[in-house]
Amino acid sequence: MPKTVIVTDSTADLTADEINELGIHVVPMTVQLGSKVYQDDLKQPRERFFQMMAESTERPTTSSPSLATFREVYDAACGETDDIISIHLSGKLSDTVRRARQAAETMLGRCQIHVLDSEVTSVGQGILVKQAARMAREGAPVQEIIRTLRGMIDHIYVVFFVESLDFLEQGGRIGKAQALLGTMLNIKPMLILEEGEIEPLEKVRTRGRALDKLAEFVSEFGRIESLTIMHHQSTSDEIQSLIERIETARGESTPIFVAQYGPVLAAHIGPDALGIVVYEGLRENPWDW
Amino acid sequence: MTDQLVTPATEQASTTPTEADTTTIEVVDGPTLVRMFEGASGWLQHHVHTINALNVFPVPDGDTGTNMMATVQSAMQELRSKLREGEPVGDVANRMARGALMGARGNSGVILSQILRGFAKGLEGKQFVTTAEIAEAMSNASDAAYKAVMKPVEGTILTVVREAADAAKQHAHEKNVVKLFHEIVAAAKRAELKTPDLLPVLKEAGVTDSGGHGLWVFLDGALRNLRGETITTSEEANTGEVEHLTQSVGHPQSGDLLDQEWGYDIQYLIRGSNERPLDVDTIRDYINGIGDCALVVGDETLVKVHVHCPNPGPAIHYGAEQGIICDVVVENMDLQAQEFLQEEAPPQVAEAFGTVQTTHELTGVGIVVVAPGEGIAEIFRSLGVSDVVSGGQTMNPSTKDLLDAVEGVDADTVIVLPNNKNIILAAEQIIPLTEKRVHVLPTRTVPQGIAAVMSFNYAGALEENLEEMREAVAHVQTGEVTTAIRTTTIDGVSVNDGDIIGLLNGKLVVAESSPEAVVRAMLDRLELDEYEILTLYHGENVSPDEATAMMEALQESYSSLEVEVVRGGQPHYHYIFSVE
Repeated sequence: MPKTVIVTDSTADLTADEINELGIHVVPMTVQLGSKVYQDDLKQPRERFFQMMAESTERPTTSSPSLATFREVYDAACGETDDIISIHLSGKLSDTVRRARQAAETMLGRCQIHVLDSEVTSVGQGILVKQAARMAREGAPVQEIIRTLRGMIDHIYVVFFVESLDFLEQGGRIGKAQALLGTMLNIKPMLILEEGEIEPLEKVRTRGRALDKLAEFVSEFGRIESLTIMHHQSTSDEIQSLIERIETARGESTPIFVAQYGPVLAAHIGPDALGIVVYEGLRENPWDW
Repeated sequence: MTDQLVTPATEQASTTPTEADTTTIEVVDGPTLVRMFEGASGWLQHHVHTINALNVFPVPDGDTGTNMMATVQSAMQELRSKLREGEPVGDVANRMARGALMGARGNSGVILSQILRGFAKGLEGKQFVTTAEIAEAMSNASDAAYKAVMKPVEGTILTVVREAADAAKQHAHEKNVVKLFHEIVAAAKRAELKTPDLLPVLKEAGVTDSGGHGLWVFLDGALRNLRGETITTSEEANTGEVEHLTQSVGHPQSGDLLDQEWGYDIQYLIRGSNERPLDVDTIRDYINGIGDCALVVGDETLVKVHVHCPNPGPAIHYGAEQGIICDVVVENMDLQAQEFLQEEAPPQVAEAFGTVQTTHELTGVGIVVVAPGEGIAEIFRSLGVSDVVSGGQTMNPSTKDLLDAVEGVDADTVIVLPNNKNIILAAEQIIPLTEKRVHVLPTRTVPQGIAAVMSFNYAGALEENLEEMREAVAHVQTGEVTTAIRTTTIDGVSVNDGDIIGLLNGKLVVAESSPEAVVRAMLDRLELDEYEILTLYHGENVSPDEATAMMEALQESYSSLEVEVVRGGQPHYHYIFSVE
């Protein structure tokens, strides 16, 4: 019986190596900067686009993949399997997951496509995608993979701070963080993805303090399976400083990964946000913490 | 230094026995206590300026005399409102204590209210009392005063009440209440004169403790009326209070020389009710007719009034007739402040109300803060606090002002940020007065309050949040820049009247000739490598241009810091700043 195939979108921020190794199919997202349109498919290096973004005075805009783009990816995947799991960024942040469902309907009869709202994005979404791909490779039944992923979603935390709320406000993805608009002092809002939506945590005045708050956030977990720092253009000094704070808070036993968030997220939260994605892991025994 | 001790000699008359002390009174009943309280309150009112003059610190601070007087006037009002013949002494004392509690302002006012409460407890259920019972009640009063403060300090009003209570106990066998009270008052004076030996800061400044002096004045007034004098408290308690407050919030250095020709800046809110909705247009017409620069905005439930008048009485009186008035601010303007206020556009505040979601709307936990100045109030509102009580260094809000604000929040749990060391105690008094769960976070400065509100975590549990807020408070450095209002030496810094002085985290550290020099001197005392942002809140007497120039000059010298300037609009303090 052919194995299940995993599809995701490019906001999962996986590397080209990971995609090739795990045989993941990627639906590219589109970012527009002025008159230039950039297709982010995780295969070509993103540096050139980041460079363009940094140099441009215009704000990038994004659009979710068209039905045709989805069908193209699904068509290719259908040649390999009868079962597809298509994992996408939170439906509260983007239309992508709805497009995926529409596209999946048009494929009825050719293959079974299971669309899953990850309720997160970026590295958090990537964790789900990689888990799914690994299970598929080992031949796990599709329902078991989906059950596992659904269970994992509640154990993935995405917390970050933004330099200002401008990008979120302009992109219309501000959610409940709009409570922080109107603040008369310059603040760096700390935000969390909660059930797929951006919610405010608190207001911080400085990046240094924000780093403290991120470290404080991770210190509250009993067990962490993976911890990833999510940045776009932070200096290595800043990242090192965050790593040190996390190690002080948790000891050096927790492995820390660093990932760069992609152009779509950069368009919505700005290039200077910095955050942490925590995956607690699934508890095998509910009492075993 | 004791030879230079400032304590008004003319007031010591009653400490020596006089002919009148041959008066014999063996029991104190309700009407007698009312008369005594009338004397105590009237005498305090009479001496409010001498009590204020004993303020040690050279900063325009919450004046002890003004605060104590506002506290007893509230008690007096409560007494007068329901005076009935033959009322038992226990009931009189109880109403007096309740009135004082609601009106308590500042630390000395709160302690005085606790003294009255302890005293009332001792009189509970009694028709009349004898000397032994009065002595017992005095002990209660002293205990209650000590319990009111976290860390009792000797050389203050506490020493005076304790020694007065000890004297009462010693003389409890005395049958004549007049003689007993004479002993109490004499002991209070002895204790007051001892305060400089107990508290070095008093000795350094060459004064006795102002709160201790105030309590002596209070007890002395009670004795005077007991002996048959007829000291009365001004009938227009409210107006009296406002006038005194006004004098203290004007320019303290000019004291009695306050020139009234520039008039008063009056602001307040009127709350309407369903039965009596407010008519904004009618109110506006009336206010326009009595003063300049009138601003009347709002709707049928809440109207904000801001007007400049030669006399605050009519404007306040009119407001009180329309509904419940609150957040009353009356300031005596000097010309500069007046010009400044005319340039400003206060309606921004109303706009800020509409757009910001408060913490209680989002989480069910409200935050009530005290803020000096409209600018700072507006910043707090923009951070999502539920209500702002105006007050600060020179206008300490009463327990009732704070209680009203807390009761007005549509949430069961409210965090109160006093933002001033002299308001913390008054804020703590509201905890047993409301059914809401109230947590007072003892913030001592505006930047501490702002840091605390910032760190409020929308997803956090209450306890975690309180912890976070406490931690944030510890993290911020506060600088305050003001003009010295007396010549003195404090903590080794010698200060001349009129110097610009700087307080770092509440401690006087520098006296210089300009605000900028003071700010620089304070910044140089900090390990600036550890900090990233300097926020300057400029006061009402600093123009936006001056503030911007200051910001630019500082930005140039301290390039590693991000420097931000915001209008705070606070009186007296040129700048309040935070370094984080």
